[in-house]
Amino acid sequence: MSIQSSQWWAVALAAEVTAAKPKGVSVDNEPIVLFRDQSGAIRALEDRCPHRRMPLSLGRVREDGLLQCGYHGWSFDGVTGQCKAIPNLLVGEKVPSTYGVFPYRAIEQNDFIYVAAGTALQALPPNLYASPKKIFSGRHTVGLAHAEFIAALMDGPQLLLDCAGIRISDTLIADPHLEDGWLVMERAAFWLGQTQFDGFVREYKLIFRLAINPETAESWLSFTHPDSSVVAVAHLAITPSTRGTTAILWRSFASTAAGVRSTLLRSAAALGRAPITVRAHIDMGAVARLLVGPSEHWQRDNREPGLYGTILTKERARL
Amino acid sequence: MNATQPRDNDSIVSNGRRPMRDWVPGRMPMRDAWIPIGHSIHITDQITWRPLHSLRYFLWREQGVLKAAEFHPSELAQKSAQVSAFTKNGFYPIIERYGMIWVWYGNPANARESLLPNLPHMPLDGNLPGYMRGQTRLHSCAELAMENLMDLTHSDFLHADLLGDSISDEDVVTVDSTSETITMVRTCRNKVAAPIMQKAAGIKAKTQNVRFTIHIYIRSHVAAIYSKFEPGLEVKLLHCSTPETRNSNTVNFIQNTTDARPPYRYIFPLASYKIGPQDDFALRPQGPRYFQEIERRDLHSRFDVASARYRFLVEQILERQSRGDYSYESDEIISGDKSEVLGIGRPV
Ligand code: FES
Repeated sequence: MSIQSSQWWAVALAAEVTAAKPKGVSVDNEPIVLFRDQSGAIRALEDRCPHRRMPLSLGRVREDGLLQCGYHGWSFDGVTGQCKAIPNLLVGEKVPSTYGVFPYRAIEQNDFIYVAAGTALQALPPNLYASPKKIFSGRHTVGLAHAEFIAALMDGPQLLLDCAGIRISDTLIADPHLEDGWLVMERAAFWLGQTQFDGFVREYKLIFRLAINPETAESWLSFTHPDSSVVAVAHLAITPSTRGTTAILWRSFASTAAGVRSTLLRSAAALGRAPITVRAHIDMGAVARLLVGPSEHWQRDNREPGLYGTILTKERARL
Repeated sequence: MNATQPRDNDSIVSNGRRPMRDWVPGRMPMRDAWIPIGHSIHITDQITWRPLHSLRYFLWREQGVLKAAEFHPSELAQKSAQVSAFTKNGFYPIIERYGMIWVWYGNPANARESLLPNLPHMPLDGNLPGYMRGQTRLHSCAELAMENLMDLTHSDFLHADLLGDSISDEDVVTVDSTSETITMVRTCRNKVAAPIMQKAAGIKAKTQNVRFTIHIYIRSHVAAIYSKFEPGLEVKLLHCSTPETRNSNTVNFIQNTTDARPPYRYIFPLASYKIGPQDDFALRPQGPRYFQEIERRDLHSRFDVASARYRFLVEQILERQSRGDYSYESDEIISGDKSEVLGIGRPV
């Protein structure tokens, strides 16, 4: 997991990056500054001035769109990273063309800002669900390393997520397997207060589906009815940050499924209640006690679904 | 805007050239030097202590005689076996001059008064009123703080509200050095008068001729700063960065405004409380980045001649010290009179 890979990493909510002030973020301990140039285009540079190492995120965006360091005023082009201006140079005196910072590629999609270091880049994963107008979003930094957060999301999502009126159960209904390049698994879920039983038979009224990008762990989470109508969706960007922490950017929205509870969920969303949020405070004691579950199948180093999941994947492909 | 003129004959650095070695400020303490550790007036018969390169210096006066010890005096006898080689029987060499308490950091056998910096713009007995003294804290090693002092171009960005910008008709910078000191002189003709000059010193003229001299005693982290403004006054500043750790240095300063009229006499010393935090805004995040190994070295512009020379000289001292040579070379008489170097009394 590194910014130097060929992946796009989501590093900020689009709304967090304005023309008014540059924003500093980190991917796996690499400092990156994000800003918008005079055209509003998103730019990303190494957040370390090559002159005296001041974070460029403490500087400002000039009227001509260059990012100016706050210490001595060296100014950098957002696309190439080249230093274009040093204050007080004489007319005709040039800044050496080798002066500059590392430029990252940056794009804005799905309300997230993505950055990448390489040139032979993977395409951004497609949207799994269309978004309505009313979207909730937020960011948290959690005290779990990237791989540990993903393992906890697979083994105990209820510890990490706050879902309006819905409880995710311990019961797995689909082991991790690959579907169209996504690592997918499913759990049973219930509306709060709803009986889980029809007589003595347990009925699964809602399905919690987790689809993880095996490379970056960017994830789509959804609650659906058994007829596949979608109740609520969350989109998580999970990015390794500094000191073993992980930055979580999330968006969520209520969808169009029929039924009283779904309608209530949509009404609550219209009034400002997010259907799914990432918990700002995670019960780390509960995480520590969490039994190893499906994450065991996901061999952490090569991001594959394990032998059982591989068999499932093949079976599905054959069908 | 008129730019600072480059020196043709400066061989340390020029556009795009790099200092000879990687710069890791604070990578090793420079030893065998007098370090000002606090204002004289703060050391009384009450026992106090200050950190210096992670050592403790307990300070007090015993029947008027200054003492500096490695351990609290109540523990000295009990810890006599633990005292470091930087003390003689647990006591550090100590001197009081220019209103500062100076302690020796290094082998006490090498401590000599002739190695004490000369500060001709300060009274030898330090007899100045309390409002001219102050203290600020910078969250970086002392070397970065000294480099910041000689930095010509950051004022326009960090201190513009107090010092204004650097617009002038002529702006010439020279840098000279010995193995132990570095001197930077900046002379400006018709420089736009700084806001603080206009507001606090009652300067009516729109422009001034200015000569700004900074003379740094490298091992001691002491800067003697003398500025002459015409029309206007002399600004006499003593900046002492006490290197406490690789992350912090305490700045004890004296603004000798004896010759100035009120209210400037009282107001100008307060400016350090504004300038200090402004510098810390850059130094605090800058410091940790010099602990990290990165493949690329810092880039320089021609305005960084003094800074590059300072880095070079620090490295030279450390290189000698790493070979066990703590002596002072003969090209510098530390305690020699520096009035001429500072340009005291000389018109701009
Ligand atoms: S540190 Fe950025 S311009 Fe000097």
